Amino acid sequence: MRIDLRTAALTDPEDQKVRLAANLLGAVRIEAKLSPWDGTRCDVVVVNADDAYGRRVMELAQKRGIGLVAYAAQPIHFALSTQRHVAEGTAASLVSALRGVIDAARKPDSPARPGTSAPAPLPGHTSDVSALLELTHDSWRGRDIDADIAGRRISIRASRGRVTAATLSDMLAARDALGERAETHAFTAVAERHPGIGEISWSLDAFLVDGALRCRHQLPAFAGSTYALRDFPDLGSTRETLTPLRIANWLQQRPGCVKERAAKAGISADEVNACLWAFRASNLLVIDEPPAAATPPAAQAARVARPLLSKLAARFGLAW
Amino acid sequence: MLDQTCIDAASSTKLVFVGPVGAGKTTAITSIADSPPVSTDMPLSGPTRGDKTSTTVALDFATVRIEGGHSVFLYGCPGQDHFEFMRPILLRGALGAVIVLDGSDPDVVTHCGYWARTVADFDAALPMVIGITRTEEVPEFDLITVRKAMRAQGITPPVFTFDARNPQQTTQLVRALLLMLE
Repeated sequence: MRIDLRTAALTDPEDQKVRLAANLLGAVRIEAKLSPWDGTRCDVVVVNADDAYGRRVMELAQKRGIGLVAYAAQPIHFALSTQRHVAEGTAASLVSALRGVIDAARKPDSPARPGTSAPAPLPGHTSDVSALLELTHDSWRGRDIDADIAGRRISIRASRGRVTAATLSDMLAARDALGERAETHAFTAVAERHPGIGEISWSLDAFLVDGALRCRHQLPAFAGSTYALRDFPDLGSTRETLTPLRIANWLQQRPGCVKERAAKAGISADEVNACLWAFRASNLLVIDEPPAAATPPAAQAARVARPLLSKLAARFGLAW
Repeated sequence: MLDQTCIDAASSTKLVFVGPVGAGKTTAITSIADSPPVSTDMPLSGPTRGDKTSTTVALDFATVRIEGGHSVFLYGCPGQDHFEFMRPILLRGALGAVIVLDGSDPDVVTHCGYWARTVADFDAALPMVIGITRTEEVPEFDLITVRKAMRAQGITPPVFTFDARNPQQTTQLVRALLLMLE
């Protein structure tokens, strides 16, 4: 998880402690980008509340709902858990305060961040399965959500078929952790078309397929026996290129029992299983019912002579 | 439109890349061809897009060698409307069409419908795949709207986002096209 940490009006010793604390947060997988307060949006600001400028920044942070840690000689009582007072102390105590503020800001009952609409958490829903399986749940599938996967924040925008993250490392880490157990409050539903986190934007289908294939040995057997696809998945940028493409093609052209067909083609059952989970999580897979969309017209095999087609396919890594 | 006689006797075949100006057709062809394409580039006469200062006016042409001394011919259609007459010439006898679109273009959905309709009007059974470039540059890019627009036209080709500079990703489009012929 990456946070934007700002400082305002700190003394030199306080500034050094904040720098040390920012580094120590790395131990709990929080990457803090530290810079001076400039009045723009950030996650947490650390201020010296004994300084006039520091108090001004503190007031602005409170007004905007920004996470706040305030150094002050006299205790300050804040009403919100995203705002804390610290007295002079060790960097470790500052880390503890920062973690408290960050954790409180991530909880759904915390005030919304500035510039975003309030999230709409689903009540009473907790997770005890992997993030990928959780994403196939009716509560989340096909919805726009912000997710916290292994401490990395991503925005799944099913309404646009995209996933965004603040950094490439967040995206990669979240993808690689799709097989890990999802934390409570890991997912938050947001309004459709709500802007996503960060500027790194990937294909949602490719993200889920790659993540599912990475954890394919941990996935339970996918339910149902016949499947179809509503739309062909966006597999242009998948790392594993062939298997998901073939499975999607079978499902799109001839809905039915893909598992038997894959076995004949030498594709392992767990790869098929992983693709089914991924296609389900991306809201493309229909189970045990005919597809809603028309399948594409069957291509004419006579368009190219069969021996030539086989050679052509082999040239591009296919074999039939 | 299909010339069956030519196809049965053929020892080569062709793939055609179509799409608007500046979408990445020449780049996609270059990424998978055995050698740089022979291009008919001229300075752009209309508004430019990004760093692009020239455009294909007749065709791009490149080859991919396959087993047995055969070749796949890769053709790129000019994107400008005043070279529209080149499209049926290049599409005739093709085994499929790759439609390349620019995802950073606000009109990508309109372009998608137009080019898919162009290919389908030429030959409704011609397999096609849609590849959309530069989507990573536009966080608000909307794949679902593209799919819906295609469905509304009764055309449901695979729609991929890809990097035209990446041979593996361009190959993925060609594979999807070939699988439609399996």
